[in-house]
Amino acid sequence: MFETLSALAEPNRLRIVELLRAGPQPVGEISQRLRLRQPQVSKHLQLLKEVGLVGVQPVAQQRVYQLRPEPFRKLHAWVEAYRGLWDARFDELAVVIEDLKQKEKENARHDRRKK
Amino acid sequence: MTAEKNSADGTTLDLPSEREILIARTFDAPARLVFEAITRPEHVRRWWAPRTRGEMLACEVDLRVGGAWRYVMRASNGMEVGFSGKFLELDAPTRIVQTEIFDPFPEAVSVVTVTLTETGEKTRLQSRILYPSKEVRDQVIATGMEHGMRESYLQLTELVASLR
Repeated sequence: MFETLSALAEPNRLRIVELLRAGPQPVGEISQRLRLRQPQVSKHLQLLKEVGLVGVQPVAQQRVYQLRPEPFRKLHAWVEAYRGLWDARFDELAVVIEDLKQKEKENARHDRRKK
Repeated sequence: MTAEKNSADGTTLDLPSEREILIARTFDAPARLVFEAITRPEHVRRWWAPRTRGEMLACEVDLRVGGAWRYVMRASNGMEVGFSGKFLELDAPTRIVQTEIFDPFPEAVSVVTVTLTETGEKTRLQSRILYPSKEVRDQVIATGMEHGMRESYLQLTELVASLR
């Protein structure tokens, strides 16, 4: 998980991942579209491959890179679980707030009766 | 990156930068009531340790600039989880800035900025947590995940029990 996040934290690697969301691409195409030097792109792709974010397939004379869904699923599950803790808290906070609202309404009624 | 529930009132979680987490939710009440619910210890006790996740052991709040706060819960797995800090800015009922320290990492001081934005009958709560480093932030999320998984096991147990 930490490897996935570190890999995505580098802005150009994130741009490569964003580009690959549209579909598989050869190195040359990625380098051209993002206006990055090809050796630089290859280095980034190598790292993305090491952490499992991309896979590579030879097509004719080219090496075509594509995203692999598994690390993204794990990342989503990881963030989702933490969000779940806050969602559970806020569900109960909503109940507390509703009680405060009711109490305020009752107090207002009570005050009117006193007048 | 945003994780969201499929409901208008669901809690959203964003990672706006390497060192931040942004949590938000809209409540059906004026800001002044939301502010009361998140600052008075007798109210915080009721929601900070959700029933499915654990119980509140301590909740102290000295609500003034420079004042200290401390929350401790015992999680369902038996682990005690304690957070504490000091209030840096208070502007009732719209803004709170406070430091936050997780007991096991006393050196890692985070800064939490809570803003309450009232629109019509509703109030948007946003809690932006700035961690001292990316590593600390990721560790916090990982800890939350353990609790999350624990909860899903409990729900599974309940489900299995109800099927009998």
